[in-house]
Amino acid sequence: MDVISDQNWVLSVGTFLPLAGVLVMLLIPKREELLHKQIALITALATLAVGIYTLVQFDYGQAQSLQFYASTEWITVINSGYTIGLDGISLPLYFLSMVITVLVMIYSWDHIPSPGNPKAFLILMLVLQTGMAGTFIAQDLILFFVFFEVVLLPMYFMIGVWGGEQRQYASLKFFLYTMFGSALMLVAFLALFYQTGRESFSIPFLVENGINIDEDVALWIFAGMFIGFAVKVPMFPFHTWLPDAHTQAPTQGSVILAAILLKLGTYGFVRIAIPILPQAAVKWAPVIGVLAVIGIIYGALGCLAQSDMKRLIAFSSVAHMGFVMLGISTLTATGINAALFGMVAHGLITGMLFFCAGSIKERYHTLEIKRLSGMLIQMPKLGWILGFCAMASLGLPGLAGFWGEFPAILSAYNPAPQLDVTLFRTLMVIAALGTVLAAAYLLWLYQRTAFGEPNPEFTGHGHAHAVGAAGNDEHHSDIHDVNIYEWVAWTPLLIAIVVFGVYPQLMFKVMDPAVTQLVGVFNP
Amino acid sequence: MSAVILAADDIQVAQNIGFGIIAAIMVIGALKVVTSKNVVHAALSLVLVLSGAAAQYILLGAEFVAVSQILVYVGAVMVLFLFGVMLTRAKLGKETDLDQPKAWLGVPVALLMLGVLAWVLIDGFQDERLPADATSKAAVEISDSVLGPALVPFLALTFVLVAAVIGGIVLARKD
Amino acid sequence: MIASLLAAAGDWVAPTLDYHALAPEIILAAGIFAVLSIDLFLEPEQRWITSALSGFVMLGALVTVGTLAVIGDDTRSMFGGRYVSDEYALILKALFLVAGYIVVLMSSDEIERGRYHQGEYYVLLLTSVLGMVMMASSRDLLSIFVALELLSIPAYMLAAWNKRNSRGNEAGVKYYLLGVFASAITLYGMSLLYGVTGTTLLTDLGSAITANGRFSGVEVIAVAFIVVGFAFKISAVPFHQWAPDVYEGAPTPITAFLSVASKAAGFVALVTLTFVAFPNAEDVYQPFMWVLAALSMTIGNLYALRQTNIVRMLAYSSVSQGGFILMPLTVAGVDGVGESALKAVVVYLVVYAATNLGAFAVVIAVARKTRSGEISSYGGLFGYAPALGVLMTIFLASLAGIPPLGGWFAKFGAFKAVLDADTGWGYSIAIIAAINTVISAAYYITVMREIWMKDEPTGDTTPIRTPPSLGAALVITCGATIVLGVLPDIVGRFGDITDLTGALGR
Repeated sequence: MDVISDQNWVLSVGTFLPLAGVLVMLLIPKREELLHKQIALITALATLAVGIYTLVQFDYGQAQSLQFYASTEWITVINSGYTIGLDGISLPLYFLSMVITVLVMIYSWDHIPSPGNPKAFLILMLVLQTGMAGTFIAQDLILFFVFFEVVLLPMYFMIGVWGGEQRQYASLKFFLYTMFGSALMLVAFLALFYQTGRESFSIPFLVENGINIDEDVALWIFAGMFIGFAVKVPMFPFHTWLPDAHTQAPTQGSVILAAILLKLGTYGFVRIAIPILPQAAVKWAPVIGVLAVIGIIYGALGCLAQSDMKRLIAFSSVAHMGFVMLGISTLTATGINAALFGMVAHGLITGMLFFCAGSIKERYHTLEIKRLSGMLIQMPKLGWILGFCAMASLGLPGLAGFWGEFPAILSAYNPAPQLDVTLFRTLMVIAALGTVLAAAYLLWLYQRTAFGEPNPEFTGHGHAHAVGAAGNDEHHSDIHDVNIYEWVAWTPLLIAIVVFGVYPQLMFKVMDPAVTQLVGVFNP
Repeated sequence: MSAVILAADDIQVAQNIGFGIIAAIMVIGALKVVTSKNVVHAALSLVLVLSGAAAQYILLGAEFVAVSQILVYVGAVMVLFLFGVMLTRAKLGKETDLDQPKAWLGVPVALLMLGVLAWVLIDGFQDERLPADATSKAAVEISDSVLGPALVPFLALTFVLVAAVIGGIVLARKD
Repeated sequence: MIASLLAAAGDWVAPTLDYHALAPEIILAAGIFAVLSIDLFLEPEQRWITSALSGFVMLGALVTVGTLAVIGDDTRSMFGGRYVSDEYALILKALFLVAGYIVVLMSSDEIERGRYHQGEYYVLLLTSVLGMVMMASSRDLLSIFVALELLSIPAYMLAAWNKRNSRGNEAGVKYYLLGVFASAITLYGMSLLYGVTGTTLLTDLGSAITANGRFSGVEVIAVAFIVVGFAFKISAVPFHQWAPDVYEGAPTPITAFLSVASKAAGFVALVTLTFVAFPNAEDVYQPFMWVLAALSMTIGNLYALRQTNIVRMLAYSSVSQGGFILMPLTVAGVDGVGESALKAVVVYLVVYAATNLGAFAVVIAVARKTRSGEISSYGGLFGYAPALGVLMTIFLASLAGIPPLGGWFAKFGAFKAVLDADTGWGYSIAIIAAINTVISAAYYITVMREIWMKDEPTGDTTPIRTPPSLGAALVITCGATIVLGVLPDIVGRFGDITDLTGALGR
């Protein structure tokens, strides 16, 4: 893999800048809430600016090489270096993490969940940002592992302190599940180190030398990494932490979890597991494909059974990630491109859905689907946005979600030459059925909550906001339509969903060179 | 020290009989220590055991160790023990509820240990013999090594004693 | 008559003493007497001078360790190799001195408030540290044993320092009785080993054991007994029974001292013996340590899960961490693995020391207000004492092995050492250790949960004021924990196999 080392300070700055903001915030007392929000937002915006600079300086003609590459000694005793780089596969996710953090900060301006304390909340968010960005730029397995683990504690506290009623159970489950997966992943990483002659943990090096590993050993190593990443994705049957974590997390936590943290798992497959161990990947691909499709169907059926909106969206995440994993399991350029696109699209769309759910919860104080209805009458704008997201999520052509689902299914028609065509075509058919189910649950959700007459429980509050005098009663001011912070936070996402839906080439042209290089080993 | 002399006629009969008698006394004394119901009897049986050990040292030609054994163990430790019995007003005369309830576990374990150690020691050392013509220079050798190779441990022991005295006083004071 | 005695006296030569190499010990010894004497002339309000003086003494000794590291030869050997000051010894001396200094910082306010015979306390503390410093340099059985006693006997008494409290007395008596019993077993093993091989020098033992190619029963029993005695010191299961009660009954700074320094000293002895004296005895000590490590990790964790008292939980946690530190020694005899095993143990000891001392410092700080050792009293700590809450989170996360804190690198080193061995024993203990890492996370998380997510149980949310010395201790330990996690190379340089003179027969 070629490396380009110009301006290699860019990635480090972009990743660690949030920590600078944290240091400043640590010194300011807790009660200066507005100041904290301002500093956090400025830091996030500064990070985004660095991200935009990266985006601009990226050489799209060489998207398959590792750009902004830097490599210095870090832990010489175990031959682990501080090796970072960005190519076409990591760039969209890296940038997405920064965008999401900014948007979530804007959303938090008047939405800090109980028990308050914006200082702690925003500091954790900035630390989380560093962890996420770091994972996407890491080109050394130990560095990857460190950043991968750094996101555990902030997320645990975010869910556990600011979450819903069952937050302690959900956060503990999230933590222990993920830690268990990471432990296995680390063992697999160590095994890779040993099997390639104990020279280095650097990913480019391992990609070159991974082919020399004995096949049986490679299968076991892949198994370890598979479990570690599969817990994060989450794939069936390791997905049980997700519904609880998503439902109990505060809105901001759910958005970050859905938009970025789930992608750490799938990114791990694409960046580490498949390039380093291609033969083992071929052997494991059918398993991954089958589990992915089970996830699609299971997620869809789970959605249909839910009565809580956030839990429904959580199960839909399981289904969407099933499509992503199906694309990855085909080991073709179409499939992996679809998967990566699907990752970004899912991030935008499901992030948006969780934002909507959070806002609905804030207004109605409930997310029970049977108690919600008639949103299009009470809050038309929010209702339309929800509808828009529902359409995007079910894969309506013209919106971003389509390009995550459709090419993934299509790629299963022609998987990599080493794979069993019949199996994958069967999977393709089942996955297509899954899209129908997806349409079913999303339309059902939308119909229940947006159409019809508003629930009498909540009428009488609808016009209170317009009639300013009645603002004394707390309940009356709740059911208002989208406010300014929400607009500012959501518009970029909405625009992105449309833009990428209409012109997906914008992203495909970035990812394709790197993906083609990756699958080159399967289809020479 | 570990010179091996195998000549059968060189077995020193008197010393071996002496060893046997002293060993028997020690074993009986030891059994009395753990089975006696009277604390003073137990203490005096312990004196018997320790003096027997000193006697064995003399048989082995290590008279410095023998004298230290008498001075320290019998002279100091046992006297301290008896002072303790006196000052804590332990019951003199027969005590009645001394039986350890877990003795059924302890005794077999002890016998097992005895068996293992006996086997190990016999297996390891049965071919050893004491040199018949040893002149005892034990005290000289000990002093040479204490002021030579073992200097640091020797000086460290002074700190052990200082610490023990200071700590003992602090803990035992009534305040 | 005198003439004949003198003639028989043989030739005694005065030993050559390298005073520079002995400088740390000499400073500590002088310090002990200085503190003891000055204490006689102090008024009760001036007693804090003893604590300050002890701190200075430890720092002074640390300075000499530094000069030893930089000036002159790397290895200074005295008394025919019985007392060696090589880089391995220097690193460990530094560890003991820094740990001792931090314990002094932690104790200064605590002991003063309790009117606890301060002068004598610091004398005993210094004596124990002197023993530990000696242990790092001891390379023959006699020195090791004397060092063991020198460090243990003051510790037995310090554990009983809460003498008005029945728990304190129980702690002292239990520690003392079990401790001397263990020392006696060790000594028996040492004497058997001497009897078989005729030497106490560790390097000579190394070649003498299995000199004729096979083990004799005596050697096996001797090695086993010696390991058992030190297993007690490091509270390995099943010799750990003293730990929870002693930790709970002793004053908390002493608990910190025992859990870190005393345990480290036990490990130092075990490591020195394993690498220098027992390299040929791997068939004896490896399976034995495997069992000790596996049991310690698992049983320590299982008991810790059930604890409601923070000190007892930390006690069981340190039993479990001891199992992790023991893990590399289970494969130390395998060819080529000795290096990473030694490095893993030394690194783990350093990181564990920083983290555990920090955790206990937070316990002391919080107990100043809550006067209770229950985990539930930590409820809502983040609300009214956020700094302490965050610090405790950092220390617990480091113990659990979460990057980027020091503990992850320590655990990583231990795993790497056993996986390096490529044997069935190695892989099996690695799996057990991995499972135990996740289990241990559960009880560390419980405390974090109390701190962050629960409410203050009594409703009293006055902030906690920590005295400056305790604050300094917290800053030092927290800084070390974070730095060692982000830049592990700093400590990764320690523990090279060449630093330990005579290791593995070199």
